[in-house]
Order: sequence, then C-alpha cells, then structure tokens
Amino acid sequence: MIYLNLELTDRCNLRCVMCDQAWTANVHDSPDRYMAEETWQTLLEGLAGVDEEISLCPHWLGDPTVHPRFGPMLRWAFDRNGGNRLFRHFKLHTNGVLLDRDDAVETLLDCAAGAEQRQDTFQFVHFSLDAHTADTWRRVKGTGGRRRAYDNVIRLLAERRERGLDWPKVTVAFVVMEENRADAAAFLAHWREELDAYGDGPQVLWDWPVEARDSIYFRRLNHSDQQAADRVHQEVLLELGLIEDGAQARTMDRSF
Amino acid sequence: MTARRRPPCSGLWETPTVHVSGDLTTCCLDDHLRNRLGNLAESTLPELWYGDRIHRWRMAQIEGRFDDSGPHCNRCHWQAAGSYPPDRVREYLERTSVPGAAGRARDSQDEDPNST
Repeated sequence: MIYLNLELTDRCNLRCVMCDQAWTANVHDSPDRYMAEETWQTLLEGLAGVDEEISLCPHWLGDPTVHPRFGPMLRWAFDRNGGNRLFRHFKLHTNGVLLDRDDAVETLLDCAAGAEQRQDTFQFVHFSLDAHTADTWRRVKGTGGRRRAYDNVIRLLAERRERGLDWPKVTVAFVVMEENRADAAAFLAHWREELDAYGDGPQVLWDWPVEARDSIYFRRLNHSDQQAADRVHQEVLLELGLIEDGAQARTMDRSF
Repeated sequence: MTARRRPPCSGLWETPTVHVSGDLTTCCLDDHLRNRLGNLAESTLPELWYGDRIHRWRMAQIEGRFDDSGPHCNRCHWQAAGSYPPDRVREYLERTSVPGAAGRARDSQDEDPNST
C-alpha cells in the first residue's frame, strides 16, 4: 500500500500553535495557493498506472476543505474511481470547521456511498480538534470555530447513521500538549458519549489509528524536543487511566 | 539508555507527498521539498516513485549510508514515518534484483539493535 498525500491547498483557516503551516511564512518557500483542478485531475488519472494499491489523502499542510472547489474535486475523484481503479482507500484530514459550507457533509457521504467501489473505500475522516472548551480551542487553534467543528462532526455522524452507512469511520483527534492537557478528560468523556450514541462505540488510541473503527485519538506531539513532548503525552495518558503507572505508552514502529 | 539503531525509513517506500504545484517528494515532513523527485505534470508517479534516484536513496538507507540518502533525510528525526521492516526490505531487494544485496541487508538487520 502507498499512502499518497496530494495537497489540495497549503492554506488553512486556523492557526494552530503546533503547526508549521501556521507559523512559517511561505512554508513551502512559495506563496500559499490552491491546486488547479486540471492538476488534480491529471495526477489522479496518473494513479491508474501504479501497480501498488493507493490510500489517497488530499492533504499535506493546509486544510483541504478551504479549497473553493473542494466538493467538486472530491466528486470528480470518486466518479472516476469505479472498480477502485485510481485508489483503494481515501481518508480526509480536516479541522472540520468548514464542513457546514456547500453541502460538504452530503458530498462526503455521497462519495462514501459510491456503488462502483469497494464499500470501505472512504476509510475515515480525521477531525483535528485538540480542545474541548472554547477558551482552549482559541488558545490552541488561534481563532474561533469550536462550536462549528463540533457540530459538523455530529452532522457527519448523524447523517452517516441516517443513510445506514458503515463508512467513513470518524476519528476525533487531540494532539496532547501543555496548552490543552486540562481539557483531555472532558474531551474523552464527551466524545465517548457521542460516538457511543451514533456508532458502535469508539476505540481510544494514543498511537496511530490501526483499526477501522470510530476513534478518539490522543496523539503525540511531533516536536523538536521530542522527549519533553513524550513526557507530557505519557502523563496525560496516565491521568486518563489509559495506561498504568510505570508503563510506557506503546508507540508503533510503523506509523502509517 | 542505549541509542536505537537507525532503520530505513518507511517514508521512502510508502508516503509519496505531492505539493500543491504537482512537485513530488518523499514524505510529509519535507516541507521545503529538499527531496523533490520531479513534477507529476511532467512525469508519471510510477516513473518517479520507481525511478533511479529514489532507488539509490532507498539503497543508501538499507545499507546505513544515510548521508547518501535524500537531502532531507539527514535533517529529519526519522521516527515519524516509522521503520521499514526487514521482511519488506528483503522483498524490495528481491524485486529490484540487486545482486547480493538481500544477503547484505539481512546481515545488517541482524546486527546488534543497540549499536549505533
């Protein structure tokens, strides 16, 4: 399996404290921009010639939902993926704030429900939430939008259930840092309840999601002082009762 | 605590990453496209992802010559993508038919994992 990241845009609507995109001007050494639709189509058609199966993620440093043509470009990709000729899996990473625009949730589920592809093609939507209270959200994400993001996760869950779809699975992610650790317990309780209500019940993870289930993911911060970041991560997992005292948080050798 | 021996990075095999312009690099940590392999408007993904340049970088990683791998790789803390497992390395060497390399890689992987 090849895990292909295709960057729809390097622009983002938020300014997260832990994100290079937010704090580095011209993060790719060129002005931020949107991928042209023609480029998107050329790149996707090129996937038909790849021997290995492809898991496609339309994301690198920006948030793909910021692209003004996000919905049509997604539909184009799935319309041409009959028989999974272009990609075997698809996953979306987003902060979720903009999914109430342009019928984006409906677009996602229409794509997931495509009849001419394998049922688990649209594997998951990964929501980078990282906060529970509005204050922490603003501190960590650099602006507002917490309520919109939370509501949009619920919209997706509710509509998925309404349509009787098993896919995509939903991951609500929380990158553990000093700035948000006080929210971790409330985040866990809240999303346990919601994911129980709308699905089969979540798995709680602190390493890269490995199972095809709805997930609450307490993610390790990737940081230049990795030992300090790992220490905070470990402490929070202990506080949440996810690991036992003295145990090391297991991290996978293989993350993808 | 003993240092962990640096394994080959799975990013070079598994995480092609395409900039908004169509430029292709080897992983999502290469923000500055130092490992740029080419542009997908000018070449196909198979041409670049199974091409000579990235093959040389993969071989350098397998043989522990990280200075000879992609220019980004030595700036990286290399633990984000995870290691490329020994069985997959052997499979790669067999598939690319590198004479004698499968044995060398096996010997290398069998070394003391705590040596650096």
